[in-house]
Amino acid sequence: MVTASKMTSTNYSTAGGSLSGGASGAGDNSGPIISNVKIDSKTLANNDYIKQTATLTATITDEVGVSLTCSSIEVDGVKTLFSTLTSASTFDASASTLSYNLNLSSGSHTIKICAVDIKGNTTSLTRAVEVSSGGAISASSVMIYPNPFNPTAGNARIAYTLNTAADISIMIFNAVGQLTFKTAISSGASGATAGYNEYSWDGKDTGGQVVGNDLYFVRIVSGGKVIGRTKLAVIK
Amino acid sequence: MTNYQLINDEINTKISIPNWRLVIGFSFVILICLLDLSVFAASTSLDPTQLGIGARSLSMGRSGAADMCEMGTIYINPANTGCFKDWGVTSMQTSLMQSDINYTFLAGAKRFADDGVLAVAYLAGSSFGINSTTIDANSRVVLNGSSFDYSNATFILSYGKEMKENFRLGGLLKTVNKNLSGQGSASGFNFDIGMTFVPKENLVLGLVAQNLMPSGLSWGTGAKENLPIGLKTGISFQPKDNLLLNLDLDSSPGAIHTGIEWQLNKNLSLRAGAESATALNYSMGVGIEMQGFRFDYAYLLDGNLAENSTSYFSLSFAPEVKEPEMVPHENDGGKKLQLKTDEGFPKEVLTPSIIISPPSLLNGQVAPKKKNSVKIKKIAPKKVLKKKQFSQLSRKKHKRV
Repeated sequence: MVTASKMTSTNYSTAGGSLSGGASGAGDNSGPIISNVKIDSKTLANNDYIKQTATLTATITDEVGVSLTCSSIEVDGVKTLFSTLTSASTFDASASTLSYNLNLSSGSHTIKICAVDIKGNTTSLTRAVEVSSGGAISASSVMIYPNPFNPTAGNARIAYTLNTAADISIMIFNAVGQLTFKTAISSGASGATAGYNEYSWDGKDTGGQVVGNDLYFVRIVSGGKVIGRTKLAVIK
Repeated sequence: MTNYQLINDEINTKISIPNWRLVIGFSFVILICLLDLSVFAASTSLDPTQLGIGARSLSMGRSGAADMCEMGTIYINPANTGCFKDWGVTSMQTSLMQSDINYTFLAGAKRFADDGVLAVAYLAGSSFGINSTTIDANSRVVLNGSSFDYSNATFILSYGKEMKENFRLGGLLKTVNKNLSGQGSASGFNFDIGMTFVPKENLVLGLVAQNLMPSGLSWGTGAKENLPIGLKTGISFQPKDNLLLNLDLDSSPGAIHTGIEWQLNKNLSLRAGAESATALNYSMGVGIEMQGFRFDYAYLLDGNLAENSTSYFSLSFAPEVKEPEMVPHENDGGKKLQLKTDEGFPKEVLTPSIIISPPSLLNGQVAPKKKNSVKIKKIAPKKVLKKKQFSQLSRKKHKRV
């Protein structure tokens, strides 16, 4: 059991996947570890776009146990103790797994997980999220790793953040504007969900040939419009 | 028999007998070269000249392998020297991919006394701010704060020559440099050879074999890449004096290019075209010509992605060459035509060699240059040309230099 006087608070907003919090009691001076924070099975980072209805999951572990009566999840300041979670949202103490159903309106939101062990050590993790207002589809933070890319050494990771799930195409053009590669991804499928997405490209053109060393232009397209773009260099 | 009739007969005879042996032999050599080189076909690197050269050609679906009357197409087919009279310069500017890359093209060409045309050109592309990335603790791709730039530059040296009155041959040497600042660079050279054949006065056939050397670009990383070997064939047909139709077939990348040009008047031309490659791309454009200057505009609608549609601008200059006017002969009831210049009917008719060419048809005489740089030949006093010969000359009304 914990008392209020023993609680400490640590507010992390790192992009990391796990956190352990402040110290308080002898023998156990660290808070629970919060890890694998995901929305609909996708790792959640700060300022991610998510769907209006989504499921947040996280793993919360502690060597002496997590206090259900003190640990909570807060959405936009509205706190729900783990002990009061309904059947749709649960904290499974045996599996150390939190599952929480979100139903958010359009706009910006803050989600905070506050985990307390039975000795009162506390860890908290806060994430700002965005729910698309239903306007134009956009792909932000379009990046490719590695860049320059060597197709003989592996695939390129084309990363982008969609403000909402949508049917998209990834098109790659060469330095004189000729279409080199194109693939279509259906809304909701891997690579076309709200939030952070990746597509793995093997560096081959539509004919199956490895592309030549040069500059390429990557376009994320939805509804015939470019919603995100970046440049990629290929050097073998 | 007058000198003109002799010349006329000689023209008719030579044009009506195609140089089939020469054409077939040349085509055979090209095909053998391509078959041999296909063995070496490995990783290929983009040939920047696939951008297309000249807003006029681009507005006509990127066609021009047989379009002899356009200075810009010398760089598509080095044998395209037919209507090029003296000297000229041209340029082109465009921004592709929503201004992610800019291209500039500059070129000049000069016809020499042997009816050969030497041309030089420079095509350069550049793109800035290519972001490097890394992976963060969340296994996500993030920027690492550094970036690099890209550039390519192609230098072209082209020479085309009239081998026969209806057969032209040309070669084009190009050096290609590509650079990714701080990441790698490559350089190499290659060459194209081309021919144009004129089986009829309003029909031109063109054939170009591109990048015939098996080794193209050598990268600093040790990688070697070939510029794509290609074969381009073209037909240019002029059904009317002010109408021109082009059709090209391109093997690399596989594409069909077609275009039409309608010359509304001396100063204004309208153009349209289409190319079928990975998608059907339409094009349109306009040309405005005045006192030797010509401005061409082309707009290419990208069939793959509308936002990639691009404008191209060209500005060219070639000194104007006055051509003698053909008028009915006063003593022949209008059945025959004669030349008339600003000074009236000349005592000695001076005929620009570009109209009756090559010089070999004119008894091998090479005339001294006049002020307007037209090569002229002293033929005969007050002689007349038959209507058929006038028809042959009419093609030149649709000249583009």
